[in-house]
Amino acid sequence: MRSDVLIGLALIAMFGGYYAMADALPSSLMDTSVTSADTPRMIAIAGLGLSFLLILQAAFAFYLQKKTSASSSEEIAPEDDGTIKGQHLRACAMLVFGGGYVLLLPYLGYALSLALLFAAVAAFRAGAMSWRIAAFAVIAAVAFQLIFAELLNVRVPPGILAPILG
Amino acid sequence: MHGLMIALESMGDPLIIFAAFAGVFWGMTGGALPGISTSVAMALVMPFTFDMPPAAAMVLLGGVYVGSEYGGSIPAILIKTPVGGSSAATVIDGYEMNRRGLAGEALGLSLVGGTIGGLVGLLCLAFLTKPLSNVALLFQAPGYFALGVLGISVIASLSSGAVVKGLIAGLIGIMISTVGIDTLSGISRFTFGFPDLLDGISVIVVLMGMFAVTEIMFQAKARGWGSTIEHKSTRLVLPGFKKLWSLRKAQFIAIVLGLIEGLTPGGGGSIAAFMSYNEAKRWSKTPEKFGKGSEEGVIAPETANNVVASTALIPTLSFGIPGSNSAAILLSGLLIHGIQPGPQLFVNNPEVVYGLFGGLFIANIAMLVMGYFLLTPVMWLVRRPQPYLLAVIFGLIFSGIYSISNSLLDLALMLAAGALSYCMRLFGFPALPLILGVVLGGMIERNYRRSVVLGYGEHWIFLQDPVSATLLALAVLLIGFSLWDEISKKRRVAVTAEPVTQTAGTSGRKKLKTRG
Repeated sequence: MRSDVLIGLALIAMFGGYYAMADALPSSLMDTSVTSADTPRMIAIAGLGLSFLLILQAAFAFYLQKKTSASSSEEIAPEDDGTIKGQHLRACAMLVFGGGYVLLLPYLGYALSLALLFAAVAAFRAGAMSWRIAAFAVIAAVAFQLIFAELLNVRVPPGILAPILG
Repeated sequence: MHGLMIALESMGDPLIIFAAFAGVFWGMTGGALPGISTSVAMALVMPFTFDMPPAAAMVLLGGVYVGSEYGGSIPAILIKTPVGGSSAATVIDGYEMNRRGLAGEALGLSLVGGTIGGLVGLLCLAFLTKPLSNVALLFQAPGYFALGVLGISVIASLSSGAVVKGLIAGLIGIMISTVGIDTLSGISRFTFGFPDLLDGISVIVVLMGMFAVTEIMFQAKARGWGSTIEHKSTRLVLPGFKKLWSLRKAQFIAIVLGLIEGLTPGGGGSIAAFMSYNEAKRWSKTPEKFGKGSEEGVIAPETANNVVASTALIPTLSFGIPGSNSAAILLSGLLIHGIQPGPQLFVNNPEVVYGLFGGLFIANIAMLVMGYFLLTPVMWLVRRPQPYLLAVIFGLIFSGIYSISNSLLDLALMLAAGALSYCMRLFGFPALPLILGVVLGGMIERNYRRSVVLGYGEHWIFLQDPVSATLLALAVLLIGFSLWDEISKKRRVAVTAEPVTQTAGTSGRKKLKTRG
């Protein structure tokens, strides 16, 4: 219930910000009776309404829960927060690896960045780095370079390997 | 007749044949890999369709859709691992047949049942799409606006216990679609100074992020090299005509339910598969065999989910309202190639729609042929260690998106969409309404603005237009009913809650025991 209330509040902030940005849009000579800002404003208002409804829903669910557990004497002990948190962190690590790849791509180039991405993801998933993973990363990166850059003619940044790749 | 000629011509087109076989190959391979559902497999191949002619692009995507339904049954039967909802029903009896040493027979039933279902579904697609799309001729701007709103409302209302969250997700999707230059006024909206955003946020970027990246994130939660899968060589055994005839009742039930579910927005292969399983059991002469390796229990869900693979295209092509994640990706493929679904599709782009029909026929035959020969290599791939598979899939995702427009911003947006979808899944927000909002948002806004201009600035036009009024009323009723149903369920649960008792859990926690 608490998470829904917090999410509702976050959504109110988001839709409020969206409304403010829509309000700040300039007008155009080509505007008709409905301007470019009107639809975003309507979306924001609908979103605000639904966000309030979400909070009300959460409050109603909490009220019902309180009603049925009025005689309870025990609190539910929390789940193993450490395990769940660890799992979320592991999931977020994929975003970190992906973000690192995006940042390094223009400088290191496609093949090298990809090799690092493969090595990082595989080692992370496996729990440890090994020469097998390193070899896999290199071979897979070369294969991707051949398939995408050479065979499919995708324009990829050569990066620091430009002199070698030509 | 003209359409039939185009379809027959496309069946002789080498590019269409290649697209069908390639799509089925990737669909089977990708569909068999844990972590790659049908929609992810389709999303991964989408960037490569950009430079293809529209008909071939749609056949490739359709082939992936068809192939992945069978691909998903391979790990379901062999290693009790359904990779998607539509293969979850196959596990029940498919794995039991495997344990009794009949894995080859189970896979054969899945393959042939799927082919039959796919071909029947294709017939329904070919005969029903045009008549249904002619209904769309009644639609004007207010009607199209209302149809888009209804589409999102239907999907949101199917998010059981989360209607409000579904509607919010739909609104967020429409919000995303407003980014970029407004084509009606020329104003750039919400671009934050990024030139790359002037064209808006690509649907494929959102799709890849929300399906593929999110799946990678969930797969990354585990650690290790993946489960050890015992190496067993499995030979496919195709059922004979006698066997198929003896299973005709189960197949018929599956075909009917697959047709209904395919036409229903939000239906999808999973619901069709489970419903077919249940009904096949109910009408079976030997229901006691279900759960213990019943052949009907395998062929029913597999036939149904392949019927849906074709029939889900009917509302997609007729109205432009996709009923499932995979159909949403197909719709995106159409829109990316500048093709508008609806009755004009048959007039303006007959080569695309009839070419698709012809291509899907080839795809279903390709599935039968390739399913026979690809089993061993697909199983080899499924048995690769998880870390390698995860890394390669991640690389494919990035390479695919980068190949579209060489934009680093697209890669960053894809990661952001993945993060958003991950959070949405954790907090019970359904993803499909958001996807629909992104796909349909532009159409909804354009038709809304046109309607208001036609109504001289007044909104009464939405009530004066009979189609619009009907659809909007339906949307309101649907949402109202779903909300009421949600509240009633919660109240019923509260009223029937047992008195609290204290139990000790296995992890040493003290728990309250209440129902619901």
